[in-house]
Amino acid sequence: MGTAPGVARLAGLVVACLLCASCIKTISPARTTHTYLRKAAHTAEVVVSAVETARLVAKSAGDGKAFGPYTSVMLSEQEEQAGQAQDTFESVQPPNARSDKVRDHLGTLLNKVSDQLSALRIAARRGELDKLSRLARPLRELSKKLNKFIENPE
Amino acid sequence: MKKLGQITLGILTAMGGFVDIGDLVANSETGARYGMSLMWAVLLGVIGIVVFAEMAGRVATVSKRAVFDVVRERMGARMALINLFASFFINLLTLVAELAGVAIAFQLASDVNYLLWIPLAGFLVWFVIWRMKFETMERVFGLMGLVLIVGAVALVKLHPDWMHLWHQASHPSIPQGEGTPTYFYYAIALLGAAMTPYEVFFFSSGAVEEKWTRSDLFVNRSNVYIGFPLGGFFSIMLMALAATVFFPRGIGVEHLGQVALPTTLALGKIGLALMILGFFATTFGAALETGLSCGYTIAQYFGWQWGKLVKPRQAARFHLVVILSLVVAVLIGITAVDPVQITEYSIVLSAAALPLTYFPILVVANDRQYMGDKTNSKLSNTIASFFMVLLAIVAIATIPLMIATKAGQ
Repeated sequence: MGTAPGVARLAGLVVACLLCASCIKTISPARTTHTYLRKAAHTAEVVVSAVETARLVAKSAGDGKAFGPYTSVMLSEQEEQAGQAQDTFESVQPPNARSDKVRDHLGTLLNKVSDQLSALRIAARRGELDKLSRLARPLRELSKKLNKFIENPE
Repeated sequence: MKKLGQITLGILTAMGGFVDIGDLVANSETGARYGMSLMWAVLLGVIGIVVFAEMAGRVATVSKRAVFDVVRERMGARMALINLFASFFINLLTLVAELAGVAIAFQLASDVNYLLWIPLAGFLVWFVIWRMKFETMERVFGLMGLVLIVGAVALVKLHPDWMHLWHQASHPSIPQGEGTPTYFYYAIALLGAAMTPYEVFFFSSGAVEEKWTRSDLFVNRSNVYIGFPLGGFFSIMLMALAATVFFPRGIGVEHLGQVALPTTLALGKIGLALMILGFFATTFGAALETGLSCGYTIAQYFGWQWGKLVKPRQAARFHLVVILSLVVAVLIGITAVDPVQITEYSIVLSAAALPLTYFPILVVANDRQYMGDKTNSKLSNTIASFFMVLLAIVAIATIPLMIATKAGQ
């Protein structure tokens, strides 16, 4: 009976450690091509979310429906989100040559997205809201390509 | 007429005060990810909070003592201490999330980083708690929260496919590519968002602060039975907005600012301004409630003098706990911890701890020594018993689901 509080404390500690582990966005290694492709598709999904949000923000700001500060905050957040997803993916070791090709293909798309999102953020911070619709135009095609990649990440 | 006015005002306050950062984030997030497929979880949560908040209000009104006070006496100091630890920790976590929500509302209006606004938000919350009358404080922010109704106007203006939304809600299914554990993880998050423990601590303590008598039991029932379900309407509206705009585009909700985007697209700058005001009102109101609840739980457990109706000098320890909680919440907030993640953890952990809050209320609400002839009805007990079983399952499943899904990632 005397050990019950000790066991309870230990159980609590184990649960706390597991919870902390679940809360941290860890980068697990990709040992097979399948796992690597799954990670690549997930990265593309996160970036599509940022791209589509940025397109909606640019459209609303371009139509005079959103304030400058809101537009600037939203576009900065999307750029950051896409950048973080790209960094996380690039830190995963591709397991073989086939994965190298996937990495290159997705990397090229993500770099283009990053450039466009940066351009949008810069324009928004400068208060050039009327330029946003034009600057966001290439994102439509990039979004299509990323969605195609999600369907078939090869 | 005066009574009717009081009831109407109470309903509107309960309605506007129902939504907090947990509801804003969880409903938009799930709407974007699952369409309306998780609407059942919101409805379940609303029924749960209605049943238990009514009980808590009735216990406080009849016994003239707030829930935590009665719980300690009825359940014993040791059992109540476990409850205190869990409730206080979750309250504090929720307070961090609400303060971050206030700061983000300021950021969206000013483009100044939210981390710089968090200390000011903490100070303002303390100042309002210190200076403003309880009733005024409750009403001002509760009523201001009603501006979120602009979202309903936006939803109509977006011309969604109502039949499709209804089909998603009435035939819940897990979208392709989503796992079953993640689906149920988010269902638990919605339940936790609707039934957050601080709501009953605040509600019951408020009944004592406002010196409710047995004649006010009708006000209690109308606030809870009408006000809370109408507040739940806001939750469903947020889910529907996200299901209409984000779900078809594959957009996930990662930031509070995104919640305002559908309304901005539909109604322009006015819609956006009202949504940001709504974010401020709901998160600030909830920060007041969670801040006070931190003080209520500890002061009521230790039997200290508490409340806003007594002079601060007479309830010094209660006010000290409130101040220290705010300071700690500000310090955690400015570490740049992700506010949306903090919100998710606070509502999911709330769900895990729900039996600790609601079981003692159910026990006390059936105790004739405290309640006299105002014990629970058979219907109330039947629904509450169903919820106790459900909440027990949720409490057991939450942590394994959190680990298995990496917190819904």
